[in-house]
Amino acid sequence: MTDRCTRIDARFDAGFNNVLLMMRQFASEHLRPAGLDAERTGEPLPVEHPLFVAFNKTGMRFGMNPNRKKKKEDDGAPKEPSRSSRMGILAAEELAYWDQGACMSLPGPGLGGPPIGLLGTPDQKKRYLKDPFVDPAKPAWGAYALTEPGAGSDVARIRTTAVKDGDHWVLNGEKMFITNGARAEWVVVFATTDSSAGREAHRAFIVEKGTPGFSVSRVEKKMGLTASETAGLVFEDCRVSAEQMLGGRDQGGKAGFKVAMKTFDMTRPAVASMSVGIGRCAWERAVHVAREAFGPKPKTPREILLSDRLADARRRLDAARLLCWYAAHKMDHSEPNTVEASMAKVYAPRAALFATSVAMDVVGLAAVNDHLIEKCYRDVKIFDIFEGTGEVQRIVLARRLFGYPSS
Amino acid sequence: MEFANDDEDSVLLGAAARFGADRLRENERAFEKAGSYPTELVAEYEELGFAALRLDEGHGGSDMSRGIAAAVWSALAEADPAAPLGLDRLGPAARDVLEADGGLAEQSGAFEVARDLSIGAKGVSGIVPFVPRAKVDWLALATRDGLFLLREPPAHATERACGLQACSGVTVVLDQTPFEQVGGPEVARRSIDEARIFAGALMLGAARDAHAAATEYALERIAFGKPIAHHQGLAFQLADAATELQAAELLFGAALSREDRPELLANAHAFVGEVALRVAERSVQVLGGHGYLYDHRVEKRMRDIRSIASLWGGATDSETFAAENVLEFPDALEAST
Ligand SMILES: Cc1cc2nc3c(=O)[nH]c(=O)nc-3n(C[C@H](O)[C@H](O)[C@H](O)COP(=O)(O)OP(=O)(O)OC[C@H]3O[C@@H](n4cnc5c(N)ncnc54)[C@H](O)[C@@H]3O)c2cc1C
Repeated sequence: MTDRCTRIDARFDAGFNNVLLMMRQFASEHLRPAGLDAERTGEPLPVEHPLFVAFNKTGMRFGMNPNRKKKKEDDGAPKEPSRSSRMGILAAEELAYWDQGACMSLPGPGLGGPPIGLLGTPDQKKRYLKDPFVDPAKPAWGAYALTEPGAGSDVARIRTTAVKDGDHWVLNGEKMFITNGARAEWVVVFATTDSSAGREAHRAFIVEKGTPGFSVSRVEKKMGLTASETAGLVFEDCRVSAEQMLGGRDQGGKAGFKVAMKTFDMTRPAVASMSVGIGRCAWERAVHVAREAFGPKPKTPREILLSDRLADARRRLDAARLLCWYAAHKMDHSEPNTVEASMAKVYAPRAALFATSVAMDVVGLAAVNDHLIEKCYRDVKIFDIFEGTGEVQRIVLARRLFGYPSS
Repeated sequence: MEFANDDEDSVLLGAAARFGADRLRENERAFEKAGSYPTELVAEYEELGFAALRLDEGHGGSDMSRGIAAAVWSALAEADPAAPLGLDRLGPAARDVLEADGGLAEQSGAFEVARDLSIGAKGVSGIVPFVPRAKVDWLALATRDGLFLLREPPAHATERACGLQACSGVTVVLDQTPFEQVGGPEVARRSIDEARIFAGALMLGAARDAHAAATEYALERIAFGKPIAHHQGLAFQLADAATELQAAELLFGAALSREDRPELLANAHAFVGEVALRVAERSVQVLGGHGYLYDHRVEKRMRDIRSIASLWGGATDSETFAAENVLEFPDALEAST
């Protein structure tokens, strides 16, 4: 059932190492201080925070790049496997190590990128993935709104309705937990054309900021990821033109949903990697503190106990990282990786939470002064919840591995 | 990062799987009952080159890499976790012991990590409670200071062990038994590494098989109107077991490629031990009362893994080593190292 490799080497080659160093330089200089800024105010980073322009100026872009052409021609030569999934999780871990909340607040299409990139019309790609992001001095965001107050894991339950009215659609409903939802130039909004028909009736619409009937109801206060904005959105008789339907007038349906699911195979290992980054941050800080206090070798029973826990946390984090990389490796080699992606997503957040909790044990109640460790502890919990909860991942695994029934 | 498997490796793994399926799986209960493996099976095992996977060719070995040897042992352990121990004559310290005295290759050797033994000028004293061998012509002892060789140590049959019962098993009682030093701390460490690879591989294979047996059973057994695998409580446990096994497999594999980093291997061995023990116990749970009986192999996997997890200092020794050294590598998690 599990795969067997006779050769596994966890070291990075020069290409990966260069990306790592590039990420590290930007993130240590900009992300970490910005994340701590947000901790001090207790609010998401304001849109005018210097982080955003600084990020734009680096030329780095995350998410879907509509200008990247896929090579189609086949000249018979053996194809080099892609490296993009692995690069993605490498970057995800490193950025999260420095500050995941600040990372999620970075300008760009965000989670709205993949659906438009995969299903959007050429015009939609230009208008939403390209145009808003050309001027580095004007940071812009996109967002993805699926979750509702009454429907999270059970996506089929969404109650936001889309009713056809001439050449328009009229949206009514409420969305919750939408990352960058209040500041976004546009939001990909999922709605149902027939709430009794489940996913078949789901359609996605790209709703622009300022569209009458679209408003922000609130910005949430959260346990962690303070730098990142999480918003509630309301749609009241919000009219959008038929051109705003993702994929154009008549698009949507099952094929679209399948493509959307496929993006999970890519994003889940990356999200899992972010949790590894946060766990590593707390772990390294705790080892540093322990070393200062105990010297290089633990001696007393307490020191030995804590060192054992640190070693345990390390094992789990190392294993978690390998699960992420293995899933990304398979994706890059065009092999099916749904199982591996879900394994990474089930395992890594828990491993990382354990590591941050052990780190809390090492510093004890002094964690009030050690912002970083207690912040990591708060930040990391969400990784077992969003992008498919741990339970949802187990359902995916059970289905794939031994035919657990779908409903 | 690299995850690879060469064609040549696949051929060897295929041979191991076939030997397991044809010669071990059906007979593992009989071997257990007899308390030993038939001599012709030992010969066949040696003939196939499985008995000396990690020995260099100069000593008649197959000189396999750590990764391939581990994969072969795992594959064999799926069919009978005790077999690679019972069919192997030389043990994890073979390479260095034979370097010192090539004549020992024809005898039956064993290895132990000497945690509770006292080694002084007059000899070694203490008890080695369980050696998975019918006969011990020589015993290699690893301490932090070096690797020591004891010729013809006083050994007698043990009581039945929890698992690994097909390996007979002897107790060695040492009372100022004379010894000779084979190597220093580095050599001792190398043989401890070899032992960790051997034990880790066996536990992984055995746990994988226990999980496979549990999954298969859970799809056949009906309760409350559907296969028990399709009740969420059990489905999630099986999914977790699959995930943990995969994690253990990868962590162990990554450690095998780093001969320069013994603490990675200690960490991986400790992790594999923890995962294998849990998966084995959970697998018995999946079968309910049936899992408790000799009728199914999961109870044997659970016992065998429990014994393997205690061999050669055990997974706890690896855990201790990892804990002692964890602060020495403050940047250890850096993936690029
Ligand atoms: C900081 C943050 C950012 C987010 N960003 C976005 C965003 O940008 N866009 C967006 O659309 N959403 C976003 N979300 C929402 C997130 O994806 C959901 O919270 C998540 O999908 C879980 O849904 P829920 O909260 O409704 O929990 P529920 O689905 O109600 O789950 C509650 C509990 O029940 C369990 N459960 C549910 N179904 C089953 C089952 N069949 N079997 C067993 N257990 C089950 C779950 O695992 C969980 O433990 C974000 C959330 C947060 C907190």
